[in-house]
Amino acid sequence: MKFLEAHAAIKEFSGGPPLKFLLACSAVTDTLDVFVKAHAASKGLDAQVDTLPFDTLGQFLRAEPPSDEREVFVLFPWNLVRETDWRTGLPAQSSSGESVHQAMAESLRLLSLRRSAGFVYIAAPIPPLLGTEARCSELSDQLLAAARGLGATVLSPANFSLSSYFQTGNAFASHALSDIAEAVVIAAIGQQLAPKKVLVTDFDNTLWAGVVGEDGVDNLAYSAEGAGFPFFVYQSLLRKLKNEGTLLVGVSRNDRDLALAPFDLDEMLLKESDFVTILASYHSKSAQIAQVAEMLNLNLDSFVFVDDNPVELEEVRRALPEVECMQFSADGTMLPSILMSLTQRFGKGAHTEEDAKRTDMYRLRAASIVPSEVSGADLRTFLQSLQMKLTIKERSFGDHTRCLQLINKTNQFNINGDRLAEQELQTILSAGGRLIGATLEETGGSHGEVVACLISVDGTIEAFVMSCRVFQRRLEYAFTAWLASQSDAPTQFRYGPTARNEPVRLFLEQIVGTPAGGLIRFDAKNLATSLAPDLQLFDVAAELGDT
Amino acid sequence: MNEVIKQKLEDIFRLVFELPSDAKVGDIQQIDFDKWDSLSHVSLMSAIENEFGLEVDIAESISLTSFESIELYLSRKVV
Amino acid sequence: MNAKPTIRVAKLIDGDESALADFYQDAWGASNNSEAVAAARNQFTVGNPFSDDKGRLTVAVFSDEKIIGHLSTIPAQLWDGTRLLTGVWLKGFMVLEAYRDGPIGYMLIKEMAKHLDLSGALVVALPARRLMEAIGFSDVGVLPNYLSIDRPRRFIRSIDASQIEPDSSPSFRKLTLKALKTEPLSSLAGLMMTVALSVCNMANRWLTKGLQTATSLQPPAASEIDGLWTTLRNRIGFASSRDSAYISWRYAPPDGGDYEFITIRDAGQLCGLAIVRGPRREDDPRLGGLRVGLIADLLVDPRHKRAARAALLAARSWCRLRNYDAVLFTISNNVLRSMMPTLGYVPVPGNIHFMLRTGNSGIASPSGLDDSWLTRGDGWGDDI
Repeated sequence: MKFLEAHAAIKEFSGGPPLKFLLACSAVTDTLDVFVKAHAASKGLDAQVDTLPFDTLGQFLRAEPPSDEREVFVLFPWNLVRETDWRTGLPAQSSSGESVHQAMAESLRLLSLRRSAGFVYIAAPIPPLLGTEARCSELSDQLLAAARGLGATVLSPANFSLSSYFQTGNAFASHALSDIAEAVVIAAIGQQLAPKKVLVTDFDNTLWAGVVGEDGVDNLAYSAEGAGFPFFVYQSLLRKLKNEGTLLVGVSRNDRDLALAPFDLDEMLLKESDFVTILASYHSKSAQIAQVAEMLNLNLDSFVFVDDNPVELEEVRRALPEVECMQFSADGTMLPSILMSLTQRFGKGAHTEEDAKRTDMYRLRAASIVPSEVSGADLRTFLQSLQMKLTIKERSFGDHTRCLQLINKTNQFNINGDRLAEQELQTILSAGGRLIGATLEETGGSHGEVVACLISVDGTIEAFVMSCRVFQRRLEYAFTAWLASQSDAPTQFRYGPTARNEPVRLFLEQIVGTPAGGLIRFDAKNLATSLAPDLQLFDVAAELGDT
Repeated sequence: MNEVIKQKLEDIFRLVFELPSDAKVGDIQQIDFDKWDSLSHVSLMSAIENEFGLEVDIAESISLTSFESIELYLSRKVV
Repeated sequence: MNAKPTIRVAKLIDGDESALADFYQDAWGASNNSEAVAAARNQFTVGNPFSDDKGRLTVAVFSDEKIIGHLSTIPAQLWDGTRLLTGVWLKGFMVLEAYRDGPIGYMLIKEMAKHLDLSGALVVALPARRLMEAIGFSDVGVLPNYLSIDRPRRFIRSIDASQIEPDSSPSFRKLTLKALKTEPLSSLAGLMMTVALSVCNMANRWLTKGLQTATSLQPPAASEIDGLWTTLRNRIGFASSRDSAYISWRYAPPDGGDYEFITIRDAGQLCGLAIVRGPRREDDPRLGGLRVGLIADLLVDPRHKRAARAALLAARSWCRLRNYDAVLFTISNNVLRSMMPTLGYVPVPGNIHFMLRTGNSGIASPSGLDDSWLTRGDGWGDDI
């Protein structure tokens, strides 16, 4: 969750039970506040947070604890041992281990007196105050163990920024504010991060780089080199967690054979057998997850869902609030904290022979699962927050390379799967047909040109394709609404079912009823009216030029 | 500059300086905008760092004194 | 291509005098002579009865080797209603103009916070107050000002209300003052005020009959001041210490200051001490050439209202003798404030905020100014 998304979440929150607590931290917490409120809001709670005046944590700990106020302590190593504070510099001589341990013991004694407290510990690096690397490393480990002994949620060093701490005294890493805030909220609620049991993972751009339905199996990246490295590391973590007893579930918006194809590749680290079940369909992921939970007889609050697509994550969050949702990113600055978070959720200190066999045991139970066709959560308000901008572009003249590429490459949202040669296209255009493309931008960035539509002179939509990268956004409905509202609106689709275009069948079923192959006529005016709410999700610009 | 990035920056300005959602922010300069003081400057930099995944060096931060200068900075830093 | 400067914040140490001298010149137009700067800094510590051997705590932000931001302290002692505590006044919070409203002020205040415990500050500017609140200072309240106008007509015609009145003050007040600047209104208003003041003076002289007033360039005996301070502090909830050592050091330095001491005695016993001075500058654009004397400090038992009246009357007389146009008195204590109208002192909008950080001192921050005793001289507020 980033800054703007946090503000949007707060704005959208219509209120809920209060979550009152005191946030006790030696660092400035101003920048954290909005994320704390946002994460609380995502859990349906209205965070009401008191904070300590800056740099008064030591005094606060010595005072009588408030009898009934929930407290959340966000601690750094220097809150346990003052000499480890980077901003005070190193002592003139190496500290004696004894004085350091005495300081730590006293800090722990004071902290352990706080009965109504939750703890979050940021395992920031410490300066070399003990003379040798080994002794300093040992001290770091002891501080970490001490924090765990308090029952603290431990956050990785990536959550601390030394440069920011030096420059302005702000210890929190800017990119980690959301993660820190989330840990604070969970500590405030009083739930320890109980070990999770089921890791549900998306495939495209999560388990491998690329979209198997568009790029093809041979163009995915997943091995220990180049663009595939982050995905290789993610897969290796999942394999490790699986061997330690975590159940892996795959949920992919794809045809089943497409979703499974990459696991046959030799260099793919994970195999299909590593998963309890893989559910590939074009229906909502929340429905698939709910079905898995029921079939395996496991509570949804033991599930973590990992996906790179914020729309998919939001759909699951809304439909299944008990499921913890985590956005995957291959970005080098984000990946370590993602992997550490998963380790915290699932990691076990020790594992048994039974843990290693757990997947096989559950595979039997899951063998009979078929994908659910239940529709997912209403994402309308979330989609509005994406501030999507749809730009319709006339491609009948000039460069239409991308449009033609989309028509010839897209399989899933492709109205008939027909491939189009350049000459064939020119014939249709010369006879008075139109080629229209559309680009999509949203708060997360630009998706580029994602829609292509070829209309022949008699008003037949000969080709209509949409990139599967932008599924779930109601874009196909919005584009159709725009088309249908034009003065020269088309009047029929040329539909042809293929082995891959189930998404089109579902789309047509929604707007014109159960489609049969061939020409499907529609009333443009009625269609424009019925699909108008979808068009309103977009800020539409048309660059149609002079025709 | 990428329109999406510019829109995000405008939204950040409005939120940090507590301006209405339709307030024009493109002309805001530190020198003559009362709400832009040291504390709000730090809040602004923190919001920008978080939203765009950057770390803004203090020496660079000193020269980021207007919407325009920050827009230019982001056009160089954000891919 | 110029390399980026290195920006760092640090506590000042011996050896930074040259950089500090340059900063003093850039920021305040002072001489950049290192010895003069050292002397200026030492005035707050040498002889200060509350100084310790650690020296004066000052933090600065450097751009390479040049100081671009500065914040310092003055050792002090504070009274919390039951005990005296060591603390500091924050002083000299300054960022060079080219660097204002950026991260420099924030860096200064965060660095200073590491070293601060009980500390106070008198602050006008909102950005500075916001920064202080960010590190745990409470804004206890605005110090109320009172003005006794000795030459009303000249005062009305010269004062520039737009520069004195806060923007938030009612426009009718500004408009009224503007209207009064014209004749015959200014003469009429001046005459009315003169008559009212004369009546006020007569009544107060009658009320304070029997008390003896004297003025001196030297403070009274230390034991007398200490006795008066002990009495005063037992009546109030918060103040900066005003014992004899402090009063002498602050207002009667060995090299001569510009303060004078007005004593009020009741049967020979010191019951009131007003410390006054004339204007230090006469080119303040807000005053339009007016000369305003100042009551920098006051020691009096608030229950001894006759002594308080006598001290304030005497201060006004002192100013009149020097042909000042008015005298300014700033006082936070509500008992004194309630007396001001009957003494011919009119309230004037204030803009000096008293900020307090209690740190690890264990004292509770006062909820307001009523029970406190703060005057313009505290925290060197008479420099503002």
